[in-house]
Amino acid sequence: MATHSVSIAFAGSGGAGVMTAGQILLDAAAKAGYYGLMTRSSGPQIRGGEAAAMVRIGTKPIAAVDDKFDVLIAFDWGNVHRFAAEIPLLPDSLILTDPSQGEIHAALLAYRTRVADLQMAALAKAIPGGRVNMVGLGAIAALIGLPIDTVVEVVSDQLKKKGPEALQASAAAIRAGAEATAGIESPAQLAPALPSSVEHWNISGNEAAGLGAVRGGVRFCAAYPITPATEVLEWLAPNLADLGGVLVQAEDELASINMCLGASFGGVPSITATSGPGLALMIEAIGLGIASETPVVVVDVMRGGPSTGIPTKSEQSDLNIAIYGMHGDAPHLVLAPNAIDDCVFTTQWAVHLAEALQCPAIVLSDQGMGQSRAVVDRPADLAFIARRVTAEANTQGYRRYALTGTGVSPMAVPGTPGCMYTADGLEHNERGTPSSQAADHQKQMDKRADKLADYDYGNHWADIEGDGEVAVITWGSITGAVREALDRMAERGLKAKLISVRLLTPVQPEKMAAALAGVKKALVIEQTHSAQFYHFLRAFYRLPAEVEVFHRPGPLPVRPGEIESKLAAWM
Amino acid sequence: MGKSFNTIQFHADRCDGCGDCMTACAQAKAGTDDLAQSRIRIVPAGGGVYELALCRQCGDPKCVMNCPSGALTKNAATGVIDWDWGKCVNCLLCTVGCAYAGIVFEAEVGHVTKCDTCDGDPACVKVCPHGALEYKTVAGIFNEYGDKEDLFAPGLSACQGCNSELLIRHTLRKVGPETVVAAPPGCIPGMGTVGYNGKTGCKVPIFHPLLTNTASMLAGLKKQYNRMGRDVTMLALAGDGGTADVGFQSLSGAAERNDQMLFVCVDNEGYMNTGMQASGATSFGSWTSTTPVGSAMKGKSTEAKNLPVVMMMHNCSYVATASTAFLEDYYAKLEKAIEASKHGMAYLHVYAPCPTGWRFSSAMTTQVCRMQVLSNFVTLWEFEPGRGLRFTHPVDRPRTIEEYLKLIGKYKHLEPEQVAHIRKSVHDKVAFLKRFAAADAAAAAG
Repeated sequence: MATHSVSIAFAGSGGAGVMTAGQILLDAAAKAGYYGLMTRSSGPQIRGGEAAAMVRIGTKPIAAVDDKFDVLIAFDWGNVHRFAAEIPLLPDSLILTDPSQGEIHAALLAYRTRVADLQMAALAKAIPGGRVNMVGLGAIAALIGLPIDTVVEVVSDQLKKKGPEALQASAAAIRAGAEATAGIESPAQLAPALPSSVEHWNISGNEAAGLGAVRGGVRFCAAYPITPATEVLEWLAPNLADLGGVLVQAEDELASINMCLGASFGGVPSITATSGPGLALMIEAIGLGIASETPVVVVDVMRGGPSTGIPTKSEQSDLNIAIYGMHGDAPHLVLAPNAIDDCVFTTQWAVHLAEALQCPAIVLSDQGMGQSRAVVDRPADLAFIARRVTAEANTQGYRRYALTGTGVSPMAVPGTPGCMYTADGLEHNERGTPSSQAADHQKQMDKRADKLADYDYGNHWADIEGDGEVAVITWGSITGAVREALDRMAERGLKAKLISVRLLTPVQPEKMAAALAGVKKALVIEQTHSAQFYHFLRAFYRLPAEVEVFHRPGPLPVRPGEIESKLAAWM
Repeated sequence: MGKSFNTIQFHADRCDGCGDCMTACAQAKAGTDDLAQSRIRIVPAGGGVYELALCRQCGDPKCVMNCPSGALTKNAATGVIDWDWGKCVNCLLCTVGCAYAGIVFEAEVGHVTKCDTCDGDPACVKVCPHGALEYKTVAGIFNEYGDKEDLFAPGLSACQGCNSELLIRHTLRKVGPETVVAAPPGCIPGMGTVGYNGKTGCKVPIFHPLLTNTASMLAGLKKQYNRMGRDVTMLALAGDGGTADVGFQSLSGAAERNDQMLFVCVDNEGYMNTGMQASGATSFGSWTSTTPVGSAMKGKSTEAKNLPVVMMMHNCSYVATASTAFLEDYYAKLEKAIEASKHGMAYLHVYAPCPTGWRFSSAMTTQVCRMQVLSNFVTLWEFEPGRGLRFTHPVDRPRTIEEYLKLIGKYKHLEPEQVAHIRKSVHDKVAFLKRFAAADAAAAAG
């Protein structure tokens, strides 16, 4: 039966070509007009560790991993059983195995799925230069009904540099794999792709964040490599250079954030990208940005915490540190994209807000978005371009921290004649002169709070979809899974409203009240162990009388099915 | 574990057939200039290549097996195959057994002769003007180390060809079980020291601290052991990032306080565990994923921090650089470092060329290590307060820098100006160290 979505897991030892196979399948699906999502998983150890590429292909945009996989193909069985929990299978799923590459582990056999043999190693060996992962790729394409010629074309594009022999070997291996599936019953054949007038992009969340930054006007980045955020700086390095921007690799996170503050003080919109441990190191400097009203954007690609935690896997548990981490009363912006393509929008908006409000902004992405790739409709071009209110030269009686109606005061570029000032982390008066006077402290605190509170954030503070007396309130990358669950509920005639909060701070009580008008029950969904988002909502919002929370930590992705069953039981 | 012995090593590539070794041997053993009585023979093999005919003091000697009279015996203490004229019956069966022409009949004296290594002080080695003969004296150390327990469980998942595993196994054997290891995030935990794969790990307590604070963590722990009156070695096994970049502040503080620990930096010039990003220790011109090669960039545009020199300037109790291609040198330094760590900061900077991140064949690691030293790309030296800096393996006639660079993929793109830059900076770096060494030597003499 033709289906609208197929999920495939490639697994094997590191170096077996698992990621390459997944990537090519996603590219081929895109070329054939499908949407797709590829997530990746690997152990924390170096070469030789296990790896899995999980690809979901469909006729409609895909924002979440599915509840089960239709096919698991393993190039070898080294430590693949460690993914058993990440690769749920059903009895009508299919495991493709090469009997010459070891036995299927009991943890996977426990799913009681169909198993088919595929002599991948032997087939690859028969082709000079043939590789096992290409044989496997061909087999998968054939089984799900992706045109083999499209796969070969994609491989040809990517291997151009390697010469005609490599090309021929790969093409032969792909076709051999496809032919070898004769007699294996397909677990799921893709329905034909739907015609689309919109250009499709194949992008990762980390690349999307980089793109959003650049579109927002960022021309300076200083960052220190950290999994799973490093791709942001790797993407920004050449792209900033092309735009006349600058990227510096710093020696640590303290240097990164302080370089950004320096660059921003000098007048250029600046960004850094990190993950939990790095954010922890940056907190003091973010506080300096808040007090000195120096805009800066920090993208935190969250991973499992606390401490070194689970660097290669996702969680939403940096919410508390992002919101409450600073010492003192330190109002600032915290935003969260809720899909891979939304990383473009939200990061761009964050840059815009940081510049407009002269305030640090933390963007909470996560490994599940950052290191996953999706085939998406081209994100719209936005009018958000960083605009900082600057001071004119020779402004009469220039006061950097002047109390204006909006709380935003003109920020002089250093060296502007007649506009000298001290940018200060010490409490200060309107001129920037250090002050410990109660009146100055009160006024400047009010200024820094009010400029954020009084700003009009429009409709972007949250994505609100559907209606009904039941609402699901969520945030971040798990929004895709929630949305899919709600779609399935709707098909069963159960209506619920989705509220996915993008602007976490400053809080928007009036808008939330409007969104919750008529809602009698709310379910809060998040990927943390301690229900951080739920407690945050409880602290700042008036919620309906009946509120439930569904929360669990990473590293397993939140799947639509578990939300669906939770909802079904609750509604 | 089997026993090993000191031995004479022949470097055919350095031999020009001058024959000085044969003269010296004839003089030492027979008191004559008659080369026929030399027990070492240099034999032309054509094309300007020379071969060595000399007793190899085999571990499984054919000559001993063939000898019907018990005149030849393997000396269990020295490893030398001793020949006893009193028992020899001149049957010459020993010469039939030897594949190396290491025992031959000498007409002049009327019996067989063979090398006895001049009782561990071979005359031939001392006179060779080209360093083609070398007396390897590491056997004692290998024997000592071999007898100690390997404190790393087998099966570490380091990349093939990584020298860190070799380094750590040898280091822990010497440091011993009364040790706490701290391994901040990086390749060392990544290869399984902390037990990632559930099977392997370290047989001494191991703490997996932060990348930023390894030295501080150990400093605190050491204070607690001192309080308890226990003599436990604090051993840090950190990468160059956890040492020279983000880990530097805490290391500098600990060094300034002269906290008691043995800090080993395993320098693979970058963040190789997480996808080959550059660090402050990455060398000029290196390709990494954050110093890419393209039309605008040609690899890293700045020099590596010279961290061992920076540590020397902290006046640590002991500072040394080391290479796993020169293990004898490393062992000597490790011994001093362990002793020094009882009183203060001992810092060992060990070079760890990375086959995965530097792009060379995993079979080439030791050769790359060796060429680093022989080309003066890195220098082996030690520093002790009061004694100053001393080269432990000076290379006065270095191989060309190209010979080193061409072994490694991450330098493949280098343009002639970049190579010239590296040549000059290597030269300057050695000259800089030499000034220290000369001043310290003069101070010691005067």
